[in-house]
Amino acid sequence: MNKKILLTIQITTIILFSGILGGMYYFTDIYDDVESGIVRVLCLSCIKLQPVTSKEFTFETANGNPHPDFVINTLKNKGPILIQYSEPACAACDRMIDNVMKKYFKINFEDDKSSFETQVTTGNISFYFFYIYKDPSMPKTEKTESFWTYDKDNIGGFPMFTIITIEYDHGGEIKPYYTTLYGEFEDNYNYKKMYETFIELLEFSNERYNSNIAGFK
Amino acid sequence: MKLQIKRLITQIFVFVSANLGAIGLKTGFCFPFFYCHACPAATSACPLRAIEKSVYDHSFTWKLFVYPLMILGLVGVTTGRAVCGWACPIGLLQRGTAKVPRYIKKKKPFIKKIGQWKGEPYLRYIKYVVLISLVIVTPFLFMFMFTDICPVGVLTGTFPILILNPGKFSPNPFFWSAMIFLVLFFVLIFLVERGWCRYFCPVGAILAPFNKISYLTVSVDEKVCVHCNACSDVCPMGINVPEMNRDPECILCGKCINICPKNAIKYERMKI
Repeated sequence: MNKKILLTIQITTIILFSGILGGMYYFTDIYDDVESGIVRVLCLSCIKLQPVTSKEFTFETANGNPHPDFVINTLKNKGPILIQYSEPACAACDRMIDNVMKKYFKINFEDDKSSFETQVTTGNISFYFFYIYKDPSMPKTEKTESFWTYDKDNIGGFPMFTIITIEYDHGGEIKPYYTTLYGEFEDNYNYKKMYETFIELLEFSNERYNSNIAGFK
Repeated sequence: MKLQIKRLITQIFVFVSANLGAIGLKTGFCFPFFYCHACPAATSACPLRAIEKSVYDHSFTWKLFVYPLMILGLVGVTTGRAVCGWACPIGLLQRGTAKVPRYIKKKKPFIKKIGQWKGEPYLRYIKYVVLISLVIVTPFLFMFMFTDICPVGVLTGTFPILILNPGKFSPNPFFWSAMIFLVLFFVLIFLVERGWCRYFCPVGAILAPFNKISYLTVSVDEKVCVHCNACSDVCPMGINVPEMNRDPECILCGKCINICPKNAIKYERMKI
């Protein structure tokens, strides 16, 4: 190739690529998106592992922050809570939606790429369901940032399920009481067992909620 | 300082820099080489993961698609595949294992025959197939990603996480298939020098075409060359160096420059 042509191609390409890259840094949130959406989030697909987590409830939030307002308001007015946190390009999130949330809880996901909330009743259990889609390209909200409040075992991975009820703490005050499960938390893709675990925890949550709601301020 | 010592120092420096996440440095950049952000110490993102996320499940997020390509493109157009030879931690690993395939090649002639097989150059196209199929097409159509089975993810992400968090994680269904790929990865790099870079590395597949137009390149002075083939023998990528003309496989490691008895090979920069 003629050296002048090659040099022209090189200079043009360098200007073009650096211009696009500079423009992306200046005009978009790509740097923050990659940092918060890829680098700081544990990619369970990449590590081919599943978190082993306890189902124990706790009063202590993961990051020490107070429980967010939307949780307090829901606990005051609607009942115990189940939150599913999902992110883009999360195969396990999609499988949990299809095989547990839709199949067993009959929750209607019109769009699994948007957050929504709904009251769910199954058998004698009632809870308020939040689907929180944590898309790094979208602005941060109280709901998306609550992920770090309830990341009980500091896993930082998706999907994450948080069940919140109310209970007397050691000081005699009634406070939010929660547990968090991660990924497809039962062995061998046993979604029925996952559903049964959810039911067991939600039954406990309903029972504690009904016992304590009168004193919850 | 000898060129290969400089290269080793650079590789170690980049490896340490890529792992400054261990002291809390997490950035929003993509690595311009093959390294996994799932490594607890990683500072930046794997470019392949960004591309996969951008096209996952019939979606298209242009920013996530273009961003890693621009970073790789800018590095590629200035230095070609020099990052493979001078910066990539997986390249550093393969540099460490390079003596084994060289030894095996000497002792087991059939391995040498495989290297001289006519079809061998075509195997180098596998990395382009891996890039297009497993990084773009299958995440888009079937939600199956290269990172689900990536051996480098196991090596740099899974093992450190298991060691740092004993009892906190259990294998997911892709774990064992990824382990098999990891074993095959090691078999490959112990049988073929730079086997991963030659045949399978999707990041190398993105960078390779830039060798054709890169600002920095390796050139051979045909008037001085005596065709002793010492350069081709020492080339870790198995290139026929005297006949290479901006070969996409060249990682600019400079081994051919060091070995040439006639000083016919040199780094070349385009002059303005």
